[in-house]
Amino acid sequence: MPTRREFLTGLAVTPLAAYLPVLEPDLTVRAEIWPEDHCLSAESALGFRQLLASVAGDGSVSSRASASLIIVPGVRQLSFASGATLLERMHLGAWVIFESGLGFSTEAKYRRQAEVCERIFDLKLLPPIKVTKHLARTAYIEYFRPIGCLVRTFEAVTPVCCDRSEVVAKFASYTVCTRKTIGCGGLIYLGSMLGPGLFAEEREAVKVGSALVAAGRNVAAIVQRGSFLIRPGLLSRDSR
Amino acid sequence: MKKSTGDNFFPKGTTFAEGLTLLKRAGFDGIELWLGDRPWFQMHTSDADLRARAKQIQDAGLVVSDIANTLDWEENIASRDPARREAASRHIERQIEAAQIFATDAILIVAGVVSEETPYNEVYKRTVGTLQRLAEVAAKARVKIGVENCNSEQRFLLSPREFSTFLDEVNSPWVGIHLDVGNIHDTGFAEQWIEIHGPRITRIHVKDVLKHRGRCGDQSVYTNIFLGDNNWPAIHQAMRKVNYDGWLIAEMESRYRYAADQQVFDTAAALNRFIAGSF
Repeated sequence: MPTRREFLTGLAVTPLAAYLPVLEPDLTVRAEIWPEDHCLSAESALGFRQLLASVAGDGSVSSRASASLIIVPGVRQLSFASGATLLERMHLGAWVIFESGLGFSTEAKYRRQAEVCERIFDLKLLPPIKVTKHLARTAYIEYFRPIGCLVRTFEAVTPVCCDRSEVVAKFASYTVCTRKTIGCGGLIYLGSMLGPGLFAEEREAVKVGSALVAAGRNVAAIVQRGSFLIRPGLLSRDSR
Repeated sequence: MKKSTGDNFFPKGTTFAEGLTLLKRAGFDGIELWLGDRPWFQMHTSDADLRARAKQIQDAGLVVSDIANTLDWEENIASRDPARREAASRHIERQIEAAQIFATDAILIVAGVVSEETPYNEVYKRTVGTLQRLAEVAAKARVKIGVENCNSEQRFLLSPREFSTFLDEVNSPWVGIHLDVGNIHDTGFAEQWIEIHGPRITRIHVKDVLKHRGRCGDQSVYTNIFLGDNNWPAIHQAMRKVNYDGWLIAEMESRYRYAADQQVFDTAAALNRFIAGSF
């Protein structure tokens, strides 16, 4: 385990994601879950809650004001107002795990949600794909970060356009998960639902979920302690 | 992954030495030895004789993938008859000893057989209890006991979740599952069993299965790899998902009326194709 000094010196020249797998979760950073009012989101929220409970022992879900890791499960109807609040929190150092539930939506709902994501987070979502059409080839999402792992898809995926350096996971040739820094915090977008796999205790889903939560918490913890500024793709010392 | 098959797959009339030569020529890396099946490996076979067999296997350029047995169907650890139960424990302990002689780290057993006379709940309790004791023997020998999923034939542990709970109750890292992807029939999907059991899989038996009974010769549901209803690409991916890189052991029923050795070659070729993921 590197010292904090070694870790931060390394971060000045190395992409953030390269460091994420080796970190222990910082449990001083509390998480909060923003479920939407539909069953898909509720099931996914249960999965994330279960994961947090296993990592932190108590669920570690805080009030909205203090948390620096925000999980938004099964998103299908995020409003501009809620999106703006999330964006503000990211600018202040929060990391957001944003899980799309659009695979089960109508085209009209997809279009509305894609517009919110593009305007608020600069995230370009592609139309959802039903995974069953591809089952002969693969039933799994391949994660590359924070750990390499295969995780079962959840019926449909919502691909995303992003820079190659921001790819977190792929389904066949489609990028379905990405991460980007926003302000002092950032966004981890999951275009394939992970929460139901967590709820079902799928071993690899739990591994990836734990790693994502640990990564989000650690970066948020560094920001919380102050004096560090996150720039796109890199963490570096703040000269303030 | 490495390829193996059982000595019970040797064509009829084949000697041990001829069988080894055949496996090597067909491209197998190892052999699964079945206690109680062929004359060269019975309960009365001495350690010295087993060492001589080990030398033959080594000289043939093969290794032993695991030690299985055919005796569990008659002498089971869940039997009501104490004598049969003790006999079952003895032959499993003999398998563990043989595993050490043959320098392998896994055995296969059929734990628990439910019948009209021996009900499920009894079998379950007895099996868990006996395996907890045998786990200590296995731990000392550093040999893993792989409990095979003989689902339909055993009428026991029919779902992957129940099998997992069963292993939780046995609660030993020395007892896992010897997963047979052909034994799940129409009650589930082999790839999901692989996903659920992951690191607890000690070895994998490979054969194909027809999910509609009665279409195969001799009324068997089992058939050669790629001829049945298993989803082989999904099974391959599931093995990748759980990082299974161990032995694939073909467990075929002899089906060729003529040129019986051809089935050994065809099986090895099918395994190669499976390992390459070329579908």
